Amino acid sequence: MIELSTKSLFFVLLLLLAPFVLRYRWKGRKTVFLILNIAVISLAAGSLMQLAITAVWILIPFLFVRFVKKQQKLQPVLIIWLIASFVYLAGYGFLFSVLHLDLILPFKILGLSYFLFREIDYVLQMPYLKEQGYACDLTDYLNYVLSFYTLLAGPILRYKAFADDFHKDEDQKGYIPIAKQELFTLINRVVNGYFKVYVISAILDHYARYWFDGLKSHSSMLHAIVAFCIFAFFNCWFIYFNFSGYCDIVIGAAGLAGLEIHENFNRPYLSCNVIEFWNRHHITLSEWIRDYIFMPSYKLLLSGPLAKAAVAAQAIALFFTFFVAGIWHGTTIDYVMYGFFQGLGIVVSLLYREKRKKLLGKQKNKAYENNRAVIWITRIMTWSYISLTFSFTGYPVMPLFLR
Amino acid sequence: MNERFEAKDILKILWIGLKTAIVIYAVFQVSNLTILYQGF
Repeated sequence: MIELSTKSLFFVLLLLLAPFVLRYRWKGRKTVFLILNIAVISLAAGSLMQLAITAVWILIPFLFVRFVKKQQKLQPVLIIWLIASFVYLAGYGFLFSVLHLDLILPFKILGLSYFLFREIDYVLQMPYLKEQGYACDLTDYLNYVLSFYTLLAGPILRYKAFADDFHKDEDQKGYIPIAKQELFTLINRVVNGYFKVYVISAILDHYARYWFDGLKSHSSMLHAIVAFCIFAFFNCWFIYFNFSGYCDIVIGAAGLAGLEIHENFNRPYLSCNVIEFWNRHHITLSEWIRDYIFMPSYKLLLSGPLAKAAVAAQAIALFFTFFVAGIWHGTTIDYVMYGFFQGLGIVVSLLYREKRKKLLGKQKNKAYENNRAVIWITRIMTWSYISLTFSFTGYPVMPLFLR
Repeated sequence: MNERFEAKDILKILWIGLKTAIVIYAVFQVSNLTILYQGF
């Protein structure tokens, strides 16, 4: 998530200095935040062309909400266009190769995947929020989409939460005070985040790479399986420490600036099944896909072919949701497998839980779930499954298998 | 922030400072050697 470069040193400086500007309440505060956000995206962009495409892609949803009258009818068209253009801009190589197209852009737009989530949320929620009295000018919109705190890798903000948080205490003037204990806690969290990213995850990444490289020269199948499991062990912990470390940095730094960003992790590797895991890992992503992919597809299935089979509808909708979410994570065929295995894990967890409830009854099932041995066995099983399936993220595992 | 600093706050600052120093050391190692674990 974070690589060492002059850009990341600039990011550290920004996190240190931004609280002095953002804790100060005056009418120009949101303009100052916008200038900071535009400075970050301009520095991050590799070229003017990249910046121009990003600007157009970001502005279209705002212009749609602002000027289009029959929004309800045209919303699906805009969402489909946003997804299609995202697929193109992100450069989904395996899709292009299936379609025999050679259209991949020579650059990647930073934060594109997260822009997509925010743009869809904005387009779908703004009509309702307007009715509740929420206003949104261009500055507010750009601050929401481009916020440097959540630009790189989330957590995924919703416009309502952003607007409520950014505009709180606006009737006050001058600096919003911070208690000593809170100051220590937030600084400690930022330092812990950097420690997780640059020390712990860097060590884990080194060993994950070491064991992955060793896979290419395995002498026997058994050796390859053992090496793959060791690689998966280091890789899954690398993902946790790197991503949760990044979240600690931005949540802590935003807290210092008086902004609140939702928590994204809650000890995910202590989950007892894959459903629970996704409620504790990358929480803001899980909530977003629940609201915008799972719920519409579940309702669609319930209102149509699976009207009397709620569990089957739930299973299909969950599989579809996590399959799509998996593909969203990356542009190679490995992420298709990643999405498939996450969907499969979720469906198996759901069906097993439903079957168990029927077999044991409510009380016995509760006793079973609270049994200490069961808790630890299911935790180990879930963690093993997750660590193996997480191997498809960041490493070209599929070409290795196909070889 | 008008609260007074106490003795235990010094310990907290030292603890945060120690972790910061390790991070800076690790970053320095990464930037020069690219193999982080060599320092540990």
